[in-house]
Amino acid sequence: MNKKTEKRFHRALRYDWPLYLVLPVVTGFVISYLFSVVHEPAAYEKLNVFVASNSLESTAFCQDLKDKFSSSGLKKASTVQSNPSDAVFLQKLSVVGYGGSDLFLLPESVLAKCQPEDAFLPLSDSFKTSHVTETDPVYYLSDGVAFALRVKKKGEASWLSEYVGFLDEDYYLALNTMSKNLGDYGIYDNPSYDLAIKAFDYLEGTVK
Amino acid sequence: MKETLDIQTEEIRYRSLLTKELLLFVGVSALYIISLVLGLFLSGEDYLIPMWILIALSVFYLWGTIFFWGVLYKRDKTYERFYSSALQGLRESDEVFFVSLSKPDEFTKEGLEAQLLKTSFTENGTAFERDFYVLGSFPTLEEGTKIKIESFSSVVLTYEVLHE
Repeated sequence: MNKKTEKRFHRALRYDWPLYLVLPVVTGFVISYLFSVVHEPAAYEKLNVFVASNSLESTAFCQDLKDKFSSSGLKKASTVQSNPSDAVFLQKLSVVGYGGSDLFLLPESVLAKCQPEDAFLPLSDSFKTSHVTETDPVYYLSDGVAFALRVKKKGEASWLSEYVGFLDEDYYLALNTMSKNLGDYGIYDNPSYDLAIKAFDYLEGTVK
Repeated sequence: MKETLDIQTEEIRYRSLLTKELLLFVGVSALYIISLVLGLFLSGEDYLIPMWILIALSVFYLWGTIFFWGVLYKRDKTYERFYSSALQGLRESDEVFFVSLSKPDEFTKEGLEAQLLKTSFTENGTAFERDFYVLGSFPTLEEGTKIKIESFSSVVLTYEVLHE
């Protein structure tokens, strides 16, 4: 750059400096967003667990799921944690949970407040036979239909306590009927995408 | 009459310079867009490094773009417009007395880097000042030297020294 051009540049910079600052920042965000959109795992490559609890070690919990299922094609594990005593808990469950979670880990009091048939997968006999290995399983029933399986009994320890700050209640595991990872059991015809079923088996505690 | 600079040649030079600059910008932009698209779609799941490389590339591209449109292209477009207008516009002819000539490129005349030529003239016994701008070369004369100037928009195009 010769002296004249340099002079012109300095003069222009006095007026254009916001452009030199703002545009690169905006572009940085746009590129970062584009990368995240392009590389976003497909619905059958990610798993989301809705947990109603006091607390949740989300990073460790997700890492545990990733370690377990990355060989099965899991690319992204995430959680949504909400405390049932929160005023907006039920809205969060119905909007975020029903809308995007594959599995639900809920206390009995929450199940009692919602209508399981709206969002939870009915646990059919074939499902129970194939995926429930407990000798004496306890189900959450609504109108005689099982929608969730008890995975933690009130007052008893669970391997999940390492990650989840459980309330002092019975906890049930349910599957979202809208999930794309339900193999043969869901509403989508994609039998090979069964990460939620595998995670169900894992969280149930019988498959290590 | 001596020319301060050859307007026709300058007009052609700046016109071709603008075309070259535009072609260069389009070429660089195309390369940037290609690298952005390739980076986006060919990077793997661990895309952090390609992403930061592309962000850095984009920052330089944007700075270059702002510099290009705000400084380089704007300057050359101003000159090209001026020379083009000077070729077609009406010229003014004045007989004035030389007063002073500023240092090179000390002043700008609407984006044109010029020297300020101060002159004076007398009308009905009253002396007036008249400023001209010089884009090309102009000799430093003695104060009071009478000169004939042909100008366009106060920019000297040709001159003639009448009396030393």
